Amino acid sequence: MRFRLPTSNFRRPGSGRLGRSFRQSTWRATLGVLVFLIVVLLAARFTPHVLATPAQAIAQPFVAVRNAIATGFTTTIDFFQSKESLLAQNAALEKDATLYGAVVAERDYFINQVNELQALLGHSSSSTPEKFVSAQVFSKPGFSPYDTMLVAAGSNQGVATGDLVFADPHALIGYVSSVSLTAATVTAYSTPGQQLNVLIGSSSLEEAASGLGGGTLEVRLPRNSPVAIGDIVTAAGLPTGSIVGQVAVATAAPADPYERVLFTSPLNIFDLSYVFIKTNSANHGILKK
Amino acid sequence: MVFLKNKRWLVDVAVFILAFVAPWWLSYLVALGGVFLFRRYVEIVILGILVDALYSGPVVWFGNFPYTMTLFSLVILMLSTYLKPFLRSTM
Repeated sequence: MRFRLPTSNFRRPGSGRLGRSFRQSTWRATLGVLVFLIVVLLAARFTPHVLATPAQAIAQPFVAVRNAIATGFTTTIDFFQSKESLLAQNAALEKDATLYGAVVAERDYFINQVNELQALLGHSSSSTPEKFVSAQVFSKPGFSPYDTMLVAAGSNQGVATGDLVFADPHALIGYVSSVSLTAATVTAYSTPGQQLNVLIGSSSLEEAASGLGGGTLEVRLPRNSPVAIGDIVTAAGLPTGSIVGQVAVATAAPADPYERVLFTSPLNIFDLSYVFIKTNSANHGILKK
Repeated sequence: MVFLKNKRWLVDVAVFILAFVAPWWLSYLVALGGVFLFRRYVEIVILGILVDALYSGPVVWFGNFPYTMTLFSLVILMLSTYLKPFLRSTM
């Protein structure tokens, strides 16, 4: 009985008859890849979002089914929750609602005051009419490799690239980075690499905030700047009341002449079901670059 | 995984449904399984195009190039095309 080593059938690709076929097929594959690369580069140069409209149209029924299943699942879980826990939850929510109601009333009072003062000084906010379009969030930032959101409002509702996006009518979260007929892609200012000019607390000095991802932005200020945890951060360059976040952390290393101020959006962008898009707001120029 | 060997269509359907309803990395995970199971799994490039079409936004570190995931998929496909014959010959 002959004993054969399992390695006797070993043949490296690139040698003999098999190797010739391998070389031919890899040459064809390389040629195909090169042609494809040229097509991609040309598409990126001339029509960067040419496929957005059909892709987003195909996605909508799938997302609707997913959302319906998720809602059904949540309702089923709620059904099995105990009465006591629901009562406790209800009491906590009522307390929160009262608190938030007071905060919103105070904010609206100050916004009205600022509007009246601007009217007295003859400032007009914009020459083109602006309106809010509410849009359902199809895909939250965690679904996208680009930290973007997909929302169900497109150019058929007057949405355009650059329009400002709010979590509620005063909480600014990002801008429309591309738009198709029925949907739009929203980039949050907290996305890494994004920059935005902001005013912190009662300061009138504009500072450039940089996105860190996960709904957090960072500003570097000279040490001992009058910044406190909880200070409101607003977008510079907008008429009034566009809150970008609230200061969460302010730290400084002993040898660093600057302090690092981190602030987060007032609403969790990963939990949003709806957003508000302000149409004709693309020319505010609040982005630093 | 072996039972999926002759069911490329099943993996394709899973990849494309996940691309619409799940986080992007989940569909890529299944597509990577397809790359290992099937010969020249070009569907991963189609997935890249789809993800870019759906979600593409400004990416500062790639000079705002809108087809980053397409290129990423192409690199995976090329690596699998060139490396898989070497991996198989040692099995």
